[in-house]
Amino acid sequence: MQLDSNDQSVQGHYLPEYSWSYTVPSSGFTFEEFAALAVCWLSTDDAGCGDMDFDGDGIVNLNDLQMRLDMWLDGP
Amino acid sequence: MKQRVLILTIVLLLSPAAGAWETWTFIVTADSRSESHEETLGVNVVILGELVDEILAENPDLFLFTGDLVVGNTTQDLLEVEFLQWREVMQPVYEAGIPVYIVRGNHDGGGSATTTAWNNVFRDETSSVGLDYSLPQNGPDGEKNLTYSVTHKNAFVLALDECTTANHPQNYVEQGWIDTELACNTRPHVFSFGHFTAFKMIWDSLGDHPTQRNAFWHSLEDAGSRVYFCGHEHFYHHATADNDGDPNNNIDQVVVGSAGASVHIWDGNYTGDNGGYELTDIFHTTRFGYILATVTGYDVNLT
Repeated sequence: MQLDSNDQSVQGHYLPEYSWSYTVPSSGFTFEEFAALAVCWLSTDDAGCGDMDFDGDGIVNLNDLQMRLDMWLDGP
Repeated sequence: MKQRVLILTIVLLLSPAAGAWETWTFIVTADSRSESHEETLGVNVVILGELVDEILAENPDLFLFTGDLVVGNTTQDLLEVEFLQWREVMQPVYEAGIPVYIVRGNHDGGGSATTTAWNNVFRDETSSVGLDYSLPQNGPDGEKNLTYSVTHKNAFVLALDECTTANHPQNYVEQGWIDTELACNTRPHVFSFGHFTAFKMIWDSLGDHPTQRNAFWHSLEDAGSRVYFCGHEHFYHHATADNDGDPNNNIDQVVVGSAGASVHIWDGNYTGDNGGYELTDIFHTTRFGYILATVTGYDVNLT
């Protein structure tokens, strides 16, 4: 069953009738991870520090530390 | 190392950026095909053109397209022409530098000739026209430039070609590759997209093979994913899938087949084996459009 596709146009995304949100739990941040981040401080993904580059900008810096500290001592 | 930890702690305490999260966005849509090859070479160019204007206005970090770019289902030569037509309509998005991540739908192919057509169009043309139309090359063997993963800021994205697996049509996705990718991920957000629904609505679906679908779904659950984007059905439909009464670990099926293909009418029934999951509908519309996802820290908002 199909409708004629030429009788309407794009109306953007679906606000205001549709807005749906969720929050993912933090995965926790242990002191061991904090130490691992310190080892990678200001290093690049190419240097094997991709796992500590949480915001994916290619370097381990204050933004990555901030992201992990928001998880400080959260449970897994 | 102790000195570094101490320095980091001091930096943190003095940081004016403490508590700040970067907000970023991505757009998802699918099914831009027309109804015939003659109709503007297989693409609803009017609707897709309007979507291009919207994408440029929103200027998202990423643009995801979950398949059925064109009418296709034809010869390699004509399919290639239709892919070029789609690419031409999307050219302003490519030129704007917005990463375009696409996967194939059933109309876009699955055999070797159709894959060649795809690879002839969605390739790196930096040296000739200054633009790279290719997809990431980190997919499983036999699915390079088709299935891939992307890491962007605090998110990990799985782009799944569901038309080419060795045991297709039972195994729509390459589960071993997915498991390996998810095991390596460290980002808090996990998004995935492919062409077919996981829970059957009207047409063929991962839900036609519930054992394989459930393995896929469980792998996403274990990775903390909350949303799977797909198309194939020509409307927008958001439903949440729950199997344990806990809404905080649900994965939602978000169908975004709203980029110009003739609209389907759904009777409201999930007609497949839902494998113990209960589907609760959240929003449905037959309007053309797209989903805008806004990510801030651990929060995601879809509109």
